[in-house]
Amino acid sequence: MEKKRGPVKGAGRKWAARLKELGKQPPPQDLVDKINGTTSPSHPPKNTEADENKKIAQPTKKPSDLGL
Amino acid sequence: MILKDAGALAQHLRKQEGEIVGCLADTGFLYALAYEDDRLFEEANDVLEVLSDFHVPIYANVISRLEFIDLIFRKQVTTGAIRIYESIDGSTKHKNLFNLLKNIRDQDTAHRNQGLSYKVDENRLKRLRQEFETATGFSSWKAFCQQYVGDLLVNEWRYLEDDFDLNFVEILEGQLSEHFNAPLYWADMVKIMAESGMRGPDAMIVNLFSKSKFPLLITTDFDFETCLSATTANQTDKTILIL
Repeated sequence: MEKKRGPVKGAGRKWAARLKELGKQPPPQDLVDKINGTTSPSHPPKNTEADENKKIAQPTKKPSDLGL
Repeated sequence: MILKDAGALAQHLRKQEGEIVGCLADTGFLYALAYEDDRLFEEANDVLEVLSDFHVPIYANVISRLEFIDLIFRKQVTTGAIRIYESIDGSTKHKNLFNLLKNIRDQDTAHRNQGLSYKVDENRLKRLRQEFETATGFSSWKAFCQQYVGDLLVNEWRYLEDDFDLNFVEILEGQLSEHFNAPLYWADMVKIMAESGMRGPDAMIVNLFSKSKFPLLITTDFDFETCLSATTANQTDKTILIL
C-alpha cells in the first residue's frame, strides 16, 4: 500500500510520549553505585525536589505546649 | 500572508487548489512537536494535525535537521542527568559531578517555571562528560548515553522522520532541483545576513524559502516576519505561519 502524503495523525504527541517514557528510566545502577562509592544493589532516590522542599519546610524546633 | 495558528492554517489550505507541494519548517517548530515542556507543544501539534488532514509533507534544510537532532540529544542528556541526580547520595565524594547535576536540575526547574524547555548547553555538556569520566570512567558515560540517547537516535530516528513525513532539502551552490524556481547562492544568504542582521541558519531558511516552490513556511521565530516580508514582497503565493 502506498504511504499517504503528510504526517501521520497524532505523530507529534506519540513521539512526545515516547520521549517522556525514555526520560523516566532509572539510571544504570552500576553508574549510581560508582558515584555513590557503594556496591549495594539499590538505593532510594535522595534528591527529589519534593524531598528538598520538605527539608526546607520542616520546623527547626519541635512544637511545645508550654505556651498554651 | 502571515498566519498565527492552526485554525487559520486550515482555513488557508482549504482555499488552495490542487496538491500542496510541501511546507518548509524550522527547528523551533520541529522541537515543539516532540517535547511537552515546550511552550508551543499544543499549538505545534495542532498544526501537525492540520498538515496531516491536508496531506502536506514537511521539508527542512540540512542545518535544521542537524539542529533538531542536536536539540533532542541535549534534551535527553538533560533528562538523564536529572534522573542521576535524583538517584545519588549527597554525601558522594564526587562533589563536582554532584554540583553540576544539581545545577542542571535547578536550571531545568527554573526554565519550566517560565514555560521553557531546558537543554544543557555545550559548556555544561562538555563538563558533564569530563566529570563523569573522572568519577566513574568512560564506560559509565557511554552507558549513560546508551540508556537515555542511544536507541532513540540510532534505531528509532527514521521512524520519527517517517511519521512526520519529514524530508530534507539538499542543494549545491548554483544548482536547481524539483523544489526550486531559482538556484541558491551562498552570496544571497550572506547578503540577507548583512542586510537584516539575521544569523546564518535563519538567513539560509529565508533564502531557501524565497527561491523554493514551497508556498508555506512554519516557524516559531517572529524575526522571520519582517525579513521575509521584505524578501518575498513580490511573491504573493508565499505564506508564513508564525506560532
